[in-house]
Order: sequence, then structure tokens, then C-alpha cells
Amino acid sequence: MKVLWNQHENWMDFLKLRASWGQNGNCNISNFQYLATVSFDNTAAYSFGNNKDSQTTGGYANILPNPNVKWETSEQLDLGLDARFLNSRLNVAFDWYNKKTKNWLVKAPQLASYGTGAPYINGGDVVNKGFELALGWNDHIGKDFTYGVNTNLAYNKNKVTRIANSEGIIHGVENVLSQGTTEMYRAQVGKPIGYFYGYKTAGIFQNQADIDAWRKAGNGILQSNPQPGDVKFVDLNHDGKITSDEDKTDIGNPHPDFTLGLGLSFAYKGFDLNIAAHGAFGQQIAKSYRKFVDGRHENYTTDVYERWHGEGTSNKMPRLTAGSNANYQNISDIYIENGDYLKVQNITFGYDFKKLFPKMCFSQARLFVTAENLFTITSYSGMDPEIGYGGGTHTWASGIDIGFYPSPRTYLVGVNLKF
Amino acid sequence: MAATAVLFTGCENFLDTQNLTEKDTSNYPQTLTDAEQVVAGVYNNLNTVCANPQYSFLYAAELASDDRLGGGGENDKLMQAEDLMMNYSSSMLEQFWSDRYAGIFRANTAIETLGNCSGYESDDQKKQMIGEAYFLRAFYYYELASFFENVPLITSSSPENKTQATPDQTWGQIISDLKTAIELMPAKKFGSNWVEAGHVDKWTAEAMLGRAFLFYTGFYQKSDATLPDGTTKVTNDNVISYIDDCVNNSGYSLVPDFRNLWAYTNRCTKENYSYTKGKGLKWVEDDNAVNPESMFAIKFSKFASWSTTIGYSNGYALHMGIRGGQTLSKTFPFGQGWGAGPVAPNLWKDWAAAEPNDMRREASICYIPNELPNYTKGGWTDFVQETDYFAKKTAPISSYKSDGTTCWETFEQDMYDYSTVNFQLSNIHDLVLIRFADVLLMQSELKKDVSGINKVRARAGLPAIAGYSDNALRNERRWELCFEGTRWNDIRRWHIAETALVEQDNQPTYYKGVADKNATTHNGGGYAARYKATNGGFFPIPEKEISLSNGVLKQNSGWGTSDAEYSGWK
Repeated sequence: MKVLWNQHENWMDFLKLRASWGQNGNCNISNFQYLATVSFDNTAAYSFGNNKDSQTTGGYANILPNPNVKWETSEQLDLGLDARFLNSRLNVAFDWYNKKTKNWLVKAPQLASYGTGAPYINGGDVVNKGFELALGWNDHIGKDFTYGVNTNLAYNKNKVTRIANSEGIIHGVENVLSQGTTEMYRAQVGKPIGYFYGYKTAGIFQNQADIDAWRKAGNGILQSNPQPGDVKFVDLNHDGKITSDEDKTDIGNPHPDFTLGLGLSFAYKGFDLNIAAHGAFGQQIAKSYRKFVDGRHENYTTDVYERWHGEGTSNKMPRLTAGSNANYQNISDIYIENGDYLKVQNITFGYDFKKLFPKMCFSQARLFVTAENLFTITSYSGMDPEIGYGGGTHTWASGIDIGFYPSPRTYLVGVNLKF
Repeated sequence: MAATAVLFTGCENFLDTQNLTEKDTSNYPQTLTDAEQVVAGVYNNLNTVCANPQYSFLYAAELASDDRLGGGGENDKLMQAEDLMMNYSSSMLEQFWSDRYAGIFRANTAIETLGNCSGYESDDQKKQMIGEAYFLRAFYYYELASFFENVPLITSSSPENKTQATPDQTWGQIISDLKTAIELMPAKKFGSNWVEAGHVDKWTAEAMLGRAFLFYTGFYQKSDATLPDGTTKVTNDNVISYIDDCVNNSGYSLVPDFRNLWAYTNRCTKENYSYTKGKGLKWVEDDNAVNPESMFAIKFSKFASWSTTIGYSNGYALHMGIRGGQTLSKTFPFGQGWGAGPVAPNLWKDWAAAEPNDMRREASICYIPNELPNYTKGGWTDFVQETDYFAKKTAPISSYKSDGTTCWETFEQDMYDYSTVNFQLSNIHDLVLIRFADVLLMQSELKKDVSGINKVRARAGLPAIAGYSDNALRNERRWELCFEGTRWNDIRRWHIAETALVEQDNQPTYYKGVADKNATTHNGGGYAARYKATNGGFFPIPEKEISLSNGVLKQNSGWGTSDAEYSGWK
């Protein structure tokens, strides 16, 4: 449904107010999930007959059936306006939206005693609310120089409003950041989907006196035998113990608050210059590029120089130890960083030789150079702040950087010929 | 009107779809082949656990017993934690809990659906297959109940978030399932026109019933077991009649020479090994031969790989192989692995004192300084709780290549033409879980007579004993069945665990190759204290399951506190 209203004024060239409401559905899960499918995979066989060269195929139900599974529905309400000002040089488009996704199709973790794979269930509701603002200015100076500046800014807030189990939580999986690490993301009522879950930290114990003072102040210590160089896990409820139920909390949100797109274009006589950039702000990224069981010979990035190796050497990254260690295996905000970035994605500079040789047979003979991903403005210490990876198991998790190949910087030279 | 009615019903059928490409539970299992696949799927769970043996009951029982220490490298904290009955890492045993319940789910499905299949060759065949499913469900619950005590009892393929059953209920179900298996399975051995080797039979179920009954009545100090119907009891006399049937009618027998039971007598290795050379020995499983004493064994195959599952190979042999860091010829004939479960020196000492002329001691335990003169201590310079004694029976075994100087990592690479694999995948000899000698000893224990025990002693070349005594029987079980997974439940059900376990304290060991003692400050108070704190050696229920159950499952005593946490040997 849409409502349009065009209005003509002196200072305003064009105004259109819009309102719409829509509903669409999604059933993008495997077929026959209301029954239990039977698997004959190559890990399910057994060797009878004292014969090491043969196996009998095994068959077993690989999920529990869910006869009540149904479509996921998305309802979106959108209110917006389009306007043009100043001889249509300034374009404004504004949208406010509220999108509810109901009966979210998800595989919720279930008790291992159920004995087989979890079924798809309609596991909850998610709400995305926000606004989008697009501004564009296109003008010219004199006869030969035209320019345009287009930006769009979007604000989005994501929240889970219902989870269909008594706990109100869908737990993330373990062993995502590294083998042996605890659960690091969850979907929980009242929180953004896939928010990072772990302990807060307050630096590193620099010496034994530090440890004693911490303990004396009534704070619990997670490590059973704390040493200088260990992480100070914060005892949130100040009960003298560090327990995951009471002291773990929301330590980050992988979803950006704001996303920004920016396009600049300039043209002068035969030259053209286009710059496209995009950015995201307000999100956090969880980063780790190493395995956590350290031995004598390991491969590290230069991040490892920031570890604690003596009093006063670091208040950020704990000491390295042989083998695994509570400092690393318990997910905490030592891995969480702000991931705000502005990436200049494309700069293209070209010249159309038609302007120089108007009689040539081509209607356009343009030579251009492009730089893709030339630079990124960010304080994130990892390779590329554009991270979509969420651990692999749950598609609703994101923002986990375990060392994926970053977007490459590319230089291109090209020619456009039009006949 | 009629026309429109027809139109509407036509619409409904049009919208329903049938699964034309996959099988699902609406159309499977239906035929005899389907039924055989379902049964294979239940047995397959034995291999699933072999992919991660370190979390399993059999492995923890071996390390926790008084016959073996933890071992492994300084980073193998799980191995040491299992020896000390302590916790290491969150949800330590989640893998095994999850694996075994998957097996139970498949057994439940089999029990519910095998009766509906058609195409059986005979009623006996149908009963055999259903009986096997009952046996395996009982075996899987036996392991869960011995490991965790309080487990949810799921006996249907539509599971629920149930509270943990009491031991009486769980063991009642286990014993009932075994009794059902015994009654269903016909008195037939595997062979032509019947099930293949690797399937269990009626007599295996009788043996397992003896084992389960003895543990339940011994540990919980009961005189009999009550079945789930609430009234039927299984008594000592009932079990005696089953065991007598097994001894007299099963056709299983003792292999004449004890040494021939173990893989180090295989034809590729024996003539290069000083202990077996020239003695006329012949391994019972050479070239896929049938072991007449093996009643229930996990079977492995050449299908083990990183892309299928490593559980198709014997992960226990790998884990308990000699910790590496040296060439195979220095540890010959023993293959290499991770060094879990070094033999506790007190076992050798007790054995030598009680039964000095027992050939089984050297047939079971390798005294490294004598047998392996070139052995280098320390593994990869990180070996913890290393001792001078190594368990030979179930070890990986290597053999020399035709050049006479380099070795195959395992003899199976030669014997079965399986040379393209890594040593982590190439142990594929059977893992025997129940053998006939155990049945004879159970017969003596139940009847309190010496018939069974003397047959076992005679096979070992030892003189008969005149009268039954619990002490004689207990010792005989320890010597005959060492390293076969039975000692742990034995010392628990005889209530001698605390005194037995502390014998391991301060035994001579090596730490990273340097002489040390089996003593650490990170031991939660010691073997006896941990045994008591855990109410008899029960291990922790995975915390992940407890939190997923939303409070329905409760943790076992002695776990979840900081003094139960193992942080490392030093």
C-alpha cells in the first residue's frame, strides 16, 4: 500500500509522502522437515564379518521431526518522504521503518540426550527498526564543470523480541574463536541477535600485590591459581566468585548502529572522477588470529608483542603459557574491539578522448584507472573490518574475525570504446 | 454439489508432496535391507565413540583405576584429570554423553520399528535383530550409568526433557533389556546362513547381564534387581542359570595359550620380538581369523580416514601407544601414540608378590628397562606420569618392513595391505570388550565355587585353588583382565577402591624424562578424597547439558567447585 502526494512550492520542487505496509514469507529450509529424514552417511557404517575391506551401510534418523513447522513471516511498516529543493539540485529521501520478523526459522540447540539433530522450529521474533536518509546534491559550475555529492545514512536497531523456549535464549556454539573456547554469541530476548557474550575485564594483574588487593576488595578470581599476568575478570555481582551465569554479560554488538554510503562525482570537460565510499559505525568485532594452546614453537602476528611479560608491560593481553589457559579459553572483552570504518571502495579517474578528437569513429573512447579498496579509515587492528563471518553454525551470528582473507586492493586500467 | 466436493478433495491431494528422492521416517525402515541398515547404525555408535575415545567410559575407567596412571604430555590435562577424578575444561565429557545418547536414540528407533519391517527370512532372524538392539541399548546405558550414575532414562524415539532416573530405575532397565535380549535371541552362533561375526548373540547378552548384575548389586549393596514393571525381580539364582548356560552351551572357549590373545603375536611381528620369537605362537586374529574367546568386540576397518571418521580405527590403541619422539625401532614391537595410561608400578609389585610364577604378568605388561633397552624417556620431552611399565595387551603393534631396519607404524599396514595411511588411522585390530575368561570368573564369583576360576588358572599354567575365597577371585580378575576396562567397576563394586587407589601414591614415575614420584599438589585432596567426594568415582555431567535442561538436570556431588579443577601437574 502506498500513499502519494505531490506538492509544488517555490522553494520546494517536489515532495512526495509515502507510507507502506507489507508482508512476505520465507520457507528457505530443507524439505520434509516436518518428518525425520534418514541419513546413510559414510560415518554411519559398521564392519561385520571379520572383513576389514567391507562395511554394512547404517541408516538412522538424523533430525527429530517437527510437524508444526511453518513459514517465517516478515511484516514491514515504512513511512517516508522524497523531496527535491533548489531547482532539483538537492534531493532528499527519508524513510522510517519497523520490520518485524515473526516465527523465525531456526535450529535451536537441544539436549544431547535427545540423541539426534535438532529440528527447525519457529523459534522467535526479531525486530529491526530504523531510518534511512539519502541526500544528494548535483550541480554545475560554469559550463564545463559538473559535480555531485550523494550520501545515504542509515540507522538500524536490531532486537530479538521472543525466543520460543523457557530460557529465552538460543545459545551460540563453543569453539568458535579457537578450539576449547566458551560460547561467545547468543540470541536472547531484549538483545541484538548474535550479541557477544562473555566476561568483562579490568586489565591484567601486574604483581602479587595486585592479586591480593583484588581479592581483598571482595572480588572473585576465575583462575584457580592466579599469577601476575593473568586477566582480571570482573566480578559483576561482587559475590566473591566468578561464575558464568552471573558474571558473563553483553560485551559487544556485531551490528552497526549507522551505515554510511558516500559517492562523489566530478566531471570537467573530458575528465571524470568518481569516488565511492561506505562505512559502518557502532559495531564491535571479535578478533583472534591464533590457536590458544601454546607450545614452544608457534606462529604469531605482531599482536603478541603486546602480551604481559613482566610487571608494567601490558594491561591488555595476558601472559602466554604452555598449554591452554583460563585467560584465553574464557571469552571476554579482551577479544572485542570497535569495528567502525570508512572504506574508500572505488576511485575511478578517466578521460574521454572523444572530446579531444570529436571526429573519431567511436562515440566514446574513454581511458580510466580505478583503485578498488584503496584505503580504509579505521582504528580496528585486524586485517579488514568488514566481517560477516559468525562461526559457521548459526547464520544469524556475525562479526567474528578469525583471520579471513581481507578485501584486496586492486588497481585497474581500462578502456571504454563505444561504437 | 457433489462436483465441487470432488474438486476440493482433489486440491488437498494435489498440495501434498511425497518424498521421491530421500527416505524419511514415514517410509523407512520397511524391508529386510532397511532393517539391517538400522541395526548397523546402532553398532556404528561403537565406532563413533572410538573417534574421541578420551572422553569415553572405557578410557576413563582405565586411567582412573589403580592399575594405570593418567599419562600423556603436560598439555594432555584431560588424561591426568581422569586419573585423578578431577575436572578439566567446561563440559569435559560432553562428547561421550552426546555420542552415547545418539546410540541410544538409534537403539530406541530400532526397537520401535524393526518389528514393522517385512521380508525377514524367519521369525528367528527378526527376534535376533531386535534382541541385538536391546543388548546395545543396555550396553550404552551400562556405560552411562557407571560413568555418571544419574542419567535421564530415555526409552523412546520421541525424547523429552526428563529428570534423571534413580540408579534403581536405570539399572532395572539395563537388566530388563538384557533379559529381553536373552529371551529374544535364538541360541545360535554367527556363521553361515546366520548373522556375521561382529553381531552379539544370546550368550553375549548373558555375559553382559552377569556384569551388570554384579556391578549393581555390589556397588549399591542390593540382593537383587527389580525390573521396570515394579514387581519382577532378577535374582542371583536367575543370573547363575544364565551364566551356567553361557559357560556350558555357548561354544565359546578359552584360547589355549594366553599370549595368543594379544596382537603382539601376529605373524608379521612375532619372529622379530624376543618375547615371542621361536615359541610357536599364533595370534588368534591373524588375517581376520575368528577369536573363539571373544564374545563382544568393536570391529574396525580400512575405511578410517579424516573425511569419513577416524572412529573406524582403534582410537584406544592410538591413545595408549608409547608416547613418541623416537624411532619405531627403539620401541619395537610397540607402536606409538599419545602415552595415555602408563601402567602403575604398584600393579607389577602386587602381582609379583601374590603370584610370582604367573606368565600373564609379562604377557600383559612390558617392563621397559628389560624389553626396550634403547627406549628414550620423556616422549616429546613433555611426558607426565611416565612409568617403567607399559600395557602390552591392547597396545598398537608395529612390524619390520622387508628391509629389516625400518618399521611399519602398525603391523596392520602390512597384514591388511593398508600402507597409505597415517599411524593415527592404522590400528584396526579388534577391541575386545567381553571375553569368555570373564564369564568363567563371573561364574565362580556368583556361585562361590572354584570351577570357573580354576579353568582360567589352568590356562595360565597356574595350580588350581582348593576353596573359593573372595580375595582369590578378586586377584584372579585383576591379573586375568588387566587393562580390559573391568578393574575400575570391580574395585568400586567390591568397595575396596579407596584403599586400592592410594597404592598409586608416590609410585616412581618420570616427569619430562627425569625421575619423579606420582604426587602432585593439584590433586583435589588425593585419590581417596576424590573417590569419596564423587560418591564412588562418578564423573561430572556436562554443564552444557545441565544449562540446556533449564534446571531439570542436576550435577553430581563433588563437581562444579574449584577444588575439583585440575590445572596441571606442576
